[in-house]
Order: sequence, then structure tokens, then C-alpha cells
Amino acid sequence: MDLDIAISGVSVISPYGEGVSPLVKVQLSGGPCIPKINLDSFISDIPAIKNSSYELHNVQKLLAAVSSKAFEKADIEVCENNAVRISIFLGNTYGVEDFKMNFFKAYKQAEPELTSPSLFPYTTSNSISAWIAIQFGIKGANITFANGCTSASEAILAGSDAIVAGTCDIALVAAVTVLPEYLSDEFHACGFKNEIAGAIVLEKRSNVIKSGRNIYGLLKRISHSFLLDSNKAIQCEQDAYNAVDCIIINNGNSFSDRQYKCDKAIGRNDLGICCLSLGGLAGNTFSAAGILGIALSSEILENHDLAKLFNNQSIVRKIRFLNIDSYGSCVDTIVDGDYEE
Amino acid sequence: MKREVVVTGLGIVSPIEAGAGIDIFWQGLCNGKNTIKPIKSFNVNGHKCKVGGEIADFKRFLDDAYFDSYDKCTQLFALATQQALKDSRINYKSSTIGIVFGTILGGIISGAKYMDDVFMKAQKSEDGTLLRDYSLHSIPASIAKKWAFDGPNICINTACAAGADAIGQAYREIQNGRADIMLAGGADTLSEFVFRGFSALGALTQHGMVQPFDKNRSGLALSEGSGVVVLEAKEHAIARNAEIYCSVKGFGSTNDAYNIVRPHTTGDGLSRAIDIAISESQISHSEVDYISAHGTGTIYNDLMETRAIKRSFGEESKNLKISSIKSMLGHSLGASAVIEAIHCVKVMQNSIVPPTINYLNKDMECNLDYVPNKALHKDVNISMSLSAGFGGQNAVLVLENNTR
Repeated sequence: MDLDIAISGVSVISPYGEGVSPLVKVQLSGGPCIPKINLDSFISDIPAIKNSSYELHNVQKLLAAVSSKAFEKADIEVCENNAVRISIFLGNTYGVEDFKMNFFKAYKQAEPELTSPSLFPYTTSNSISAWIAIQFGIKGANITFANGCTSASEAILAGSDAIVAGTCDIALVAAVTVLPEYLSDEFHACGFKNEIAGAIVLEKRSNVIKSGRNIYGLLKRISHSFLLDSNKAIQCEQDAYNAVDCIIINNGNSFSDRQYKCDKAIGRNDLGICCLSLGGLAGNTFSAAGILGIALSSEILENHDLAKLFNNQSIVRKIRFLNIDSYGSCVDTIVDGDYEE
Repeated sequence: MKREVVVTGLGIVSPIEAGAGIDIFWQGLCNGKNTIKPIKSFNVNGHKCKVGGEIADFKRFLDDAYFDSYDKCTQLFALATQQALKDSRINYKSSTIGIVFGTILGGIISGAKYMDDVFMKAQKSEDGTLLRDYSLHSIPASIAKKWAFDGPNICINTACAAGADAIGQAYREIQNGRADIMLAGGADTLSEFVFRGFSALGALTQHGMVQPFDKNRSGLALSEGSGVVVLEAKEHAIARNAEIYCSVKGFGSTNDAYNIVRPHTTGDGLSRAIDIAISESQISHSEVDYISAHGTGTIYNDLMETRAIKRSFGEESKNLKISSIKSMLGHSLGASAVIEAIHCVKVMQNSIVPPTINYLNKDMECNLDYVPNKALHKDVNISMSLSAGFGGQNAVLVLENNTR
């Protein structure tokens, strides 16, 4: 199905700063690994964090920060008039593990009557997007996708569908990856040790153009499927998915590594199309990978110097972002830089 | 032009029939069968509530041993999937089939075992299957691998509305032309982890039974189960000569943006979801014949839900038949909305509305027709299923009987 959804706001925060480029530059230069985001520089003016009566978890702070910044970029203020027409779609697979772990320890160590009621509500992955809804006053649909690496990509697809269906005008799609060390070790994936959060705002292209606001990329097509055989290559018979200047592949898990033997961060495929490995450029960003891929696409489309760095001195106008989870779910997205109607 | 979406297959595992088939499930509902009993699978000493709806001995209905090593949540979902596939008579080997799966805590029984090893016994967990089954998205992925489904594979969590949102998302997939056949389902288990959480919140029944909308209701009873519906593009179902049970006419999903645990006191969020679903269905409020209530039996939910119905339906609310099958089954979390949607299909097929059991005392404000204690014969053309959950989640489905 062809889409015409504009990205009107985008925000990514990593330990290396705002946006994807700083993260990519450090990864490419082999710079030091910084696991934690220093939130001090991001949160000073965010009411959801400033006004909280209790100490928030980093997941909450990060999501509040990127959501706030994405709305700011989109020049959207959530208010009584638009609250019911804004929906939230969150990618969050392991973002509440600390709450689960702490609740588990608490009930194992306390008598039934003494178990605190405050932790349990945050042990379900939807609690974080619900908390964001409360902080921003967002009253549309609120759906959390727990799909591993494709969590945020599925959230983007659902947000786009909701706009097409007319059930919302604005979709805030966000994701966060903050995996506790005990799970990171189990999954043998050092990339999970990097905190990362991102958010994008989606709207109908015509609405953004009419109001004279910026567009950071157009979502032209999204499809999704399940790969049953990790050794069988994805069939890319659709012309639309090959008529691009650049392909970003979220590798970093064994499934996608077998699909695309991307041993380099930047390379070219058999058709001569520039291929970027999101794993090689940004590490394994897990639940947030879907946002990272779209945000990186947006930066490449906007920043011609960055595009030339990746694409042999040529400008990039259309990007395919292929996101694959280790269990087999796969989301394929086309991001277009041609914003004119 | 959006495509019409129909229901062509049903699969269920609930405490009533323990996987023995939908006919037994339906008979139990019509007879007002109470499945809430003392919990046996973990220690409930020291808790005021000691009851729940457990399912034992369901694995014998699985066709093979494929899922033997999996978590109970995956096994429940697998059995409901197996039943739904058989019921739909789809040739799944030659079809592209997707899954949207709704759950709250998925394989938490495995997760808690893992946490017990790591945090309480301070040892590395030796059982490699525990983390596999703990990941929520492993559940629909395991199902896809077993039956070779290569369509979209999605796992969502919207608390107790997860099953309804799963149906809603699958409905959108077909409506927007991205898929022809989708399985929409939900599953959750009754675990010590969940029980301790709801107990700590004071949300569990103090009376050993669930009494939705009753003046003396004291809380919910947790249960477990799974439900799966096969959704199909109408033209696809007609082309393969499938039996069509009903149409999915509309779907509404909203958030209260109010409180992380309690629903909005006015019922505003659920009322908006009702109105969105009705508007999408292109029907009027007066055309709704029956509402399957979320009806948990908690003080806050049942009052909010009644207010939401009154807010949306106005004077019409007095004419509505409303019942809560959670009075019989308890609350199976991510599975409940799918089980309730399946129940709506059976209501429309059989022209019988199952009762709200344990209804003894009329509440001053919860004063609608909750079909108390005894099933009712009534032709139902349009039914509505309401769901609400922690975090202010609301989801509403409108189903239409188009077989008459």
C-alpha cells in the first residue's frame, strides 16, 4: 500500500549527543564506548521530568525527553483541542525489566500484606507509553509493540495506518532501549549496553505542507512479514524496494547477519546500491532500531555532506530501511526525500 | 475503499472447557458456570483472596508434542491457534497468514523462574528455554514457525485491552489491503507474579467470587487462557467458500491520560472509544443490541464502565443488554478481550445472552440491565465488546451478524 506520511518531527538521544550523526561518527572512528546517556543537558526544561514528585526511571526520562523534543521540532503543542487526535505508538520490549526485577525481589522478600503496590503497574511494557500519555495529556490510541528489534518499525507502521484510517491526525512514535546488564550478558550482545531513545512525529503530508512546517522525510511504503528460513534471502521483487539510492539494514543479530553479510558499516550490494549497516554505524539499538533507521534516513536526506560520505559523492533521494528481528519478524520501509506535492 | 473484514474461525482455551472445544465453552456460559476456585498452582497463604480460574490438563488437546518444552502461555496460545485453524478450514500451507498477538506478561512463569535462579539463588540459570519463552514476541514467533506463517508477526501490549487491540490491529491490516488472512489472539497465565501484583493493589475479590456491577463487588479474580479469531478479507472468505461468522464493523482505541492504575472517573476515555467504533461502523447507537462488558468486578472499573455507556448511549443505555462473562471466567488479562469477542460471536449465532452471575444487590449508580444470573433469549444483530486496562487503555470492537 502506498503511503504519504510526513515525518514532521524527529529526535534521537544517544550517549554521544542529539541526532544519529554523532553516534555514527564515534562508531566509525572507533571512539570510546559510553554506555549511559548524560540526561542533565536534555531535561532541564521538560515539565514531565521537572515536576515529578518521585524519582523517575531512566526509561521515563529518556522517553519524555525525546517526545518533548520531537513535538518541539514538529512545532506541535499538545492541548485540549488536539489531545484526542494524537496517538502514541511505542516500541518497548525490555524497557521495564528493572521494574519487573525489583517487584519480583520485593514480593519474594515481603509478606503479602507488606508488598508495595507501587512497582507492579510498571511491570507491563505499556505502562511507559501510558505514563507518557498522562504527562503530555495525549488521549488518542496508545499501543505498545514488544517485537524485539522491529518494535519501533511496527509502531511506525501502525502509526501510519492510524493516520490513513483517520483515527488520528498526529502519531507520536517513540522507542527506547535500556536493557539491564543481566539480560544483556545473557543475549551475548554488547550493543545493548548503550542507552538510546528516539521519537518521530508522523502526520499527513498535506497537513504539514498546509501549515508551512518542516518535513524530515516521507514514508512512502511499509511492508512487513515473517522470515521462516534465516538462510533464504528476502525476495525483493518489488521494483519500489529496489529503486532507491541507499539501503539501511538493521543487522547485529544472527538472523539479519545471515540475510545480509554486511561485514562493513558502508558497502554496496550486487546492484551497486549503497548499503549501510545500522549495526555497524550505531551498534545494536534493539527496540529503538526502527526509529534510528528512520532518523538516520532523515539525516542523510537532509544533510548532503553525510549522504556523499556514504554514497560515493552522490546525493541520496530515496532510502530503503530493512529491519529484521532475530526471531524473524521483518519490516521494510521506503523513506523519500521528495516532499513537494 | 476499505475492505470488509469477516471472522471465519474461532479457537478458545478457558477455565470452563480447558481446551475441550468451543461448544463446551458456550454451554458453560449459557448455564452460568462459575470456574473461580481455590488456587492450587502456587501458595496463596496470607492473601485475602485465595481464588482464581486455573486451567489444568489442556495439553492433551494439542495435536503433537511440538510445544512440550514451551512456557504455558505459548502452549495456551498454540492450542487456541490449532482450534481456530481447524475451525476456519484454511489451507494454511498455501496461504500467507499473519499474527497479531496481545499479552500483558506473556511467559512470566518462565521469567520468574529465571529471576529466581539469578536473584534468589544467585546462580546462572541453566535452563536455556526460560529467556526464550520470557520474551513476549517469542510467543507469536513460535506459532509462526510451527505452522509456517510468513505474514506479519506482531506482539502488542495494551494491558487488559491487549486482546481487543490485537483484533483491531489485525483488522486494520486486512482493511488496508496489507493482508488477506490474519490470526488475532491473546494469551496470559495465572502466575504468582501477577497474583502478587494485583493482590498488592487490593484489586482482588474478597468474597471468593466475582460480582460485576453488584453493590457489594470487592474485586476481580485472576484467571488464564487464550483466544484466537481468524480474520479474513470478505472477498477472500467468499472465494474459498468459508463459513462467515460475522463482520468486524468498527474499532476504537483511546487512552484516558489520567492515572496509571485507575480508570478515568467519568468514563470519558472508554466513551470516546465507543463513539469512535460506532462511527467507524456507520451505525447509530440505537442499533447496538448487546454489550459484552469489561466488567471486572472492581469498584472503579464497573462504575466507570457504566458511566461510559451512559455517556455514549444516553437514554438508549436503559434498553441495552449488558453482561460480564468475567463473573464466570475471571480475568484472563491479555486473553480476556479475545475470549469476550468470541463470546459475542456465539451470542449472535445462538440468540442467547449469557448472564452476569453472582449478581445479588443492585448498585445505585450501576443501574443498567446486566442480565443478572440467568441467560436471556434475544436476537442480537450487532454486539459490542468493551475492554479497559491499566494505564488508561480503552478498546472497543463492534461485530455484526451478517449470516441472517
